[in-house]
Amino acid sequence: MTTSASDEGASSRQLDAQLRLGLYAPGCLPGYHLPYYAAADGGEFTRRGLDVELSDPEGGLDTLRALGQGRLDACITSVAHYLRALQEDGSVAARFALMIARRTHLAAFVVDTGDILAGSPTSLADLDGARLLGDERSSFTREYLTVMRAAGVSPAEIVGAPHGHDLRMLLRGDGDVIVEFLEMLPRFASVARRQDVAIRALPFFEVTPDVYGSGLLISDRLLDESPDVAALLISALRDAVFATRDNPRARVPALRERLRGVTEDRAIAAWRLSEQLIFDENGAMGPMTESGWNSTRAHFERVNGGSTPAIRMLSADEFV
Amino acid sequence: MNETFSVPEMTCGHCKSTVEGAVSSLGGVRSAEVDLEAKTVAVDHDDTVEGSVIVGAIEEAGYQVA
Ligand SMILES: [Cu+2]
Repeated sequence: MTTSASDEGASSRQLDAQLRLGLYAPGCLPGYHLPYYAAADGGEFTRRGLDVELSDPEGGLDTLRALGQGRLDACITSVAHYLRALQEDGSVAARFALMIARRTHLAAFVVDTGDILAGSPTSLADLDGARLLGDERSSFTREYLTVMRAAGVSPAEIVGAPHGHDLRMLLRGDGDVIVEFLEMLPRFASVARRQDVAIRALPFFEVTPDVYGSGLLISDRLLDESPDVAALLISALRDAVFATRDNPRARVPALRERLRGVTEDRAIAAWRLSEQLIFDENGAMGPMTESGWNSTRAHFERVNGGSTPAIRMLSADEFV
Repeated sequence: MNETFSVPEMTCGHCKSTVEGAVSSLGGVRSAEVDLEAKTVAVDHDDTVEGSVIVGAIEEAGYQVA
């Protein structure tokens, strides 16, 4: 990586750096990733001299390993994947720099009959006795069972459903609930609508508001060798998120350039859902704190067992 | 028999596992493999499975078949 300082105004430092930023599940969370494509395509990254290559390398845990091995400089990862990588590998050569989704992305999806009196669920607490469609060994299933226990609802029967087959089984009435990212609602709703069925998402954050969702992890190598670049990346990312809050539609063309199958309406609908995870009631991004991480780790351990090594994060005044 | 379906909305690893799961769980399907670059899913199945059943499974997983 080559960096050369140039002065473009006293307040905006600018460098000339090439970065590889991994994005987990960009097509399935199109709204959540809306800020970054426009940022890389003439927006907040470009204006700071950051030439950012966006990729979905191998998904999940492999993204974190790519980061540790130097094939990526940074990634936007789910917190659950980060904690799993810590558990499995003992350490990840990276530090958490910015919490973006300060709440978990997971939600329960149910058929919405619109008839509350007849028991159509409107909150997780209504899912007592509901049959979960899922794979017994999957982490989504374990998350669901843990969250339901926290909601005081007795564990539900699990109806075996392969990933990818569960929506179909839900619509057929083989079970009552599936678990997925909240941002999948527009996709699921459009499938259901073709069968004249409405789908409702019940976000897990109703029960676990203090469990982190996802954010920016930066490699130790970039932080140690080019702290200026790391600082620019963090501030550009933050600005991109706020610019998207202010005008999401302006970000859609750059996203569609890379993710051609995503329609504008679906990207915007998914972003509106992501906003519930990112911003607090004042429209601010929540701070990343020790206590937030402690409750997130405690939840992760309840779900997955074992203990997690200490997480590594940048403190609020580092690099910004 | 081998058949390939075009699914332009597949863009990431999560899409890949969803579509592969949707297709490979059908009876009579031996294997399903997504190529994210080409945005296709290659399906090896016996002659008890109609193409329309495979398309239906992909669509009910949330993806349009082109
Ligand atoms: Cu996807």
